[in-house]
Amino acid sequence: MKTLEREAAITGVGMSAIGRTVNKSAIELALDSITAAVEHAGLDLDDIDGLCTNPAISETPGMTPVPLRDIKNGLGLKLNWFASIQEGPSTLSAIMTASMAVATGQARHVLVHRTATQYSMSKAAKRISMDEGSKARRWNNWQGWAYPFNALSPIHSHAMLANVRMHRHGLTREQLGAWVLNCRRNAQLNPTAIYRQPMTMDDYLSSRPISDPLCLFDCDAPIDGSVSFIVSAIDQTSGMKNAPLRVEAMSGAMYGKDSWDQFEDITSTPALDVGARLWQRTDLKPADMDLANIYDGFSIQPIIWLEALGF
Amino acid sequence: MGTNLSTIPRRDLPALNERNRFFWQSGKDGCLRFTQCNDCGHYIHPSAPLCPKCRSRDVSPAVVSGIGEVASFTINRQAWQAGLEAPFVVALVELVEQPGLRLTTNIVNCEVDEVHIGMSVRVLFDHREDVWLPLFEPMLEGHH
Repeated sequence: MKTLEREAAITGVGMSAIGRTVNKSAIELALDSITAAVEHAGLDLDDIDGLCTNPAISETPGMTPVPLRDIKNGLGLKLNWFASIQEGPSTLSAIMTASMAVATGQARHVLVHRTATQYSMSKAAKRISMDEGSKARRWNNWQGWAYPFNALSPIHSHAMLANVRMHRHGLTREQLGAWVLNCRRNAQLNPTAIYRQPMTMDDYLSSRPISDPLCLFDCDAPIDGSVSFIVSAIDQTSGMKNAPLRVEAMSGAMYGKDSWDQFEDITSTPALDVGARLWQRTDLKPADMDLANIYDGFSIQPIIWLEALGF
Repeated sequence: MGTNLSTIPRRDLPALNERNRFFWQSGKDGCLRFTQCNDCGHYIHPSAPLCPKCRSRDVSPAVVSGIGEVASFTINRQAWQAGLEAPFVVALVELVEQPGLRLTTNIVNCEVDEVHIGMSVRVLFDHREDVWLPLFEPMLEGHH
């Protein structure tokens, strides 16, 4: 099996202020993280010859406030390659695509960028009243299948996923809480984390119910902020400021129906296939791992990922 | 115990297009319909002009029983917008016609804590503007 992703490495990372009171526009946040990432890599903006963003466009307010062309044109970048990734197999699709771009020689250093203003937008959404206006709002895509039933938050699909796992497999609130508490302990070590006060299992179990069986501390916390990465071709990394963080293997959700409510096995999500395919692309095994950074917007997600990745 | 459907606050509706209009307006005559493959019988949801199982392009809307079971559900406790009344049940209902043929919907006409996974339910429609939203209510015992 060819694993050309090993021709790619992450050589820089940058973050803007992250939080709920950052008081900056989306483009300012984007420029802050881009500048930080380029600086961290020891590069100059003129070294950047590739650009990739994810998502590219989105119907969900706050998810994509800075389109790719605002970065490309705004910074006057001289690019050999660019792509904005709306449809892809992963939230990491932009990094995966950038890795393939440098592995195939389309670019040397790709700036990968994501900005979100979800907190500002969710605050604005809360000011909307149900009886405002005489006509209903109309929705396409997945929102059109959920919002008419007042399934207005991503918590509803996650709560149903958690509920069916509790029903079929005996998942407990305490098991979800164990993950949440671990994250909170880690947050205390991270000066940029938003929620840093200590949390006990009692705090977790008694938190406000939002959508059963999930409570406040099971939930994603929307923030405003921006993160950028530099993905470099491995043959460009000698003499760079940081030791290259090499890509060993990558994989994404390829199988099954792309849908929140039509996925074949409602207890699993596409994660199982992602895990199987990932380990096929490397000789490393789950037991070789010392560190796992797992997406955990809602506490049920890492439970599924831990299983899917074989931990 | 019947819920007055028109009193449930809703301010979001699907945008209708050529592909989904039959589905959202199906309840006008009290029947639920899905696109079905005329060659292999597979139901295709959301609707598409071809069958993902046998790749036939001979597909058309077909009436289904409107009977299903609660595949999963959640009791929503949060008022996401002013005027939204909690608690209410958001559910995934799987239709008896085909494993995996599901709708995100609400369960009405029962107390929220009576809803359970595996509960038998049947469709009823909430008419808003030009849309008939398929909701579900408990089946009476002995009517399965």
